[in-house]
Amino acid sequence: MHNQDLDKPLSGVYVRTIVLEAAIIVFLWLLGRMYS
Amino acid sequence: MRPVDWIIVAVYIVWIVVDGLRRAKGTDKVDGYFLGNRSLPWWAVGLSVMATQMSAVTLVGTTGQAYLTGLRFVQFYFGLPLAMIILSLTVVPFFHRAKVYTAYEYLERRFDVRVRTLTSFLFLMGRAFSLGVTLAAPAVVISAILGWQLPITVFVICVPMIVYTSFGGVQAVAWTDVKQMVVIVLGMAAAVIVLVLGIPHDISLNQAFSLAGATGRMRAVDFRFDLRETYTFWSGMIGGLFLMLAYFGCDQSQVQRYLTAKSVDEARHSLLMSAFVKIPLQLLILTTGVLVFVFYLFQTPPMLFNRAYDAQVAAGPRAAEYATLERDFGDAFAARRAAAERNNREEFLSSDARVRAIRDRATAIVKETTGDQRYTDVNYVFPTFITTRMPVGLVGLMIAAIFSAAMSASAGELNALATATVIDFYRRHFVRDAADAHYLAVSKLATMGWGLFACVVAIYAANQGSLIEVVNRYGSFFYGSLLGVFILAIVTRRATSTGAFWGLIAGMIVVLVVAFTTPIAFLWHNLIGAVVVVVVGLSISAVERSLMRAPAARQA
Repeated sequence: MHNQDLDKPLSGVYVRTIVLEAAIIVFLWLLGRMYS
Repeated sequence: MRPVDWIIVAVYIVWIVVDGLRRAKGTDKVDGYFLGNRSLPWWAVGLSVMATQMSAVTLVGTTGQAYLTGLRFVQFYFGLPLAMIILSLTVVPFFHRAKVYTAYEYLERRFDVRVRTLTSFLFLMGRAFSLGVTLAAPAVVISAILGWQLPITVFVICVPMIVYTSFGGVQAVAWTDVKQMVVIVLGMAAAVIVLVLGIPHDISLNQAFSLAGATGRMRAVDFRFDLRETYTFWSGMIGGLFLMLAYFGCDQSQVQRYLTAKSVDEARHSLLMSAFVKIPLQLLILTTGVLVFVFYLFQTPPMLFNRAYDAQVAAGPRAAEYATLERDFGDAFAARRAAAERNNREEFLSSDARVRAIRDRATAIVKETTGDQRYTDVNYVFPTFITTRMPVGLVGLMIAAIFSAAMSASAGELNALATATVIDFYRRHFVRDAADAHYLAVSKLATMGWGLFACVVAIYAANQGSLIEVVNRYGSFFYGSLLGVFILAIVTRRATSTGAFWGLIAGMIVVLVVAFTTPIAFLWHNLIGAVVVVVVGLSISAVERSLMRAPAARQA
């Protein structure tokens, strides 16, 4: 790896992005279960 | 379409062109023309990124897909947020600090001119034809619903777009994209409101979604691991991740959007905006399609939404059978509506199956009578709803939104084609030391030239269904492989230019073989292409380095 930026720890915005996506997927899965 | 709707569409087109031309200020140098002097705020770049990705086919095709199959297409985008994070940490700072105009320019600095020229050439070939298809697909639908001749529709979409893109450069593209995204979102929000209000008052929204759910349309997430299934959680998360990495990281039409940002952090924010907004936006579009399905449970839909062959079928040998099917469809629809109103799940599902069977038989008759084996009405569902069920004024807004989507997706691609042509070929191989004004003039000519080429391809492709498919699949043949080259460039120092060049060719050949000889769904092709390029590229690089070391060792 020769990109210094790869060494940076994940900032808050990246964590929030992953958390939001996980929440959306769980929401969609529950929606599918609720209305199946 | 009433006069008010025509006026709205006309005002929208004039407004977009005038506004695009106003943005021509500050684009008197190549840097301004292609990169907007790297001065755009993150939110404008972010909206432009999303507008370039959202074509008119996304708008009408996705709603039609949701009408027929439900929300499952959303899984296609599951890899996107993760891709945006990876790109924000890797290629975004690389491209910005390298001060490049094209992604492929960076590959020459890392490898050699061969790799740059091949990747840029692949981009030009793929994008030039896909731009034609991007224009052809909505043009066919718009022509059908407005009753226009196809060349006229292509002309109405292309000429304004070519004018503002040629004269205004990337700034015109970005700022018109922003406005076009606003028009698209407003249009979709208006459609959702009309749809919800169109559901009978004694049917609650919960009941409406239950009816859609009974037919499987609310099942958005499918955790089965099946390589033959196009849309599953895994194909979206893994295959989709590689597709999005390739599309946003290696495709000039996207890379150029975030190269216009003020700084590395602004560019990162613009991509993360997509990570936050894209899935909810796609859900809005898919939910609109599901609501159209619910709407047509209570309002009579046409048996088939694509009526292009009505006259031919009526005059054909199976006209009587088709007419009988129309009557059966009316009966089946009435039975389904009654079951839906009574909330009787068993009856509803059996009558829904009858409606689908009648539609299938009608489709088969159309195919047999016309010989058009690719006949489908997916792309006609939403436009039919718009033109027949939406109130005056909103029809104009929605048609403007479809024009918006067609123009915004095409303008970004057109701008990127001109950039790659001038920077990677003209300035690199033909005229290396001319004045800035010369390159600017050539850039404008290149934009116009590619625009006219796309128009011709659009008019020709509209009647060549198989050609559209070939062009659509072309992207999946080289996207993953292109990503593999960028992985070799950025992640490891071990890769040599020969390794990258032959790795790319090997990746494309393997994907081609896999695509034509196995049932593996296309989203996985991106992963396969990237892995083959990296493995072959590193292997060739290792052999090359050891061959170079051997004579050196002998001399020592």
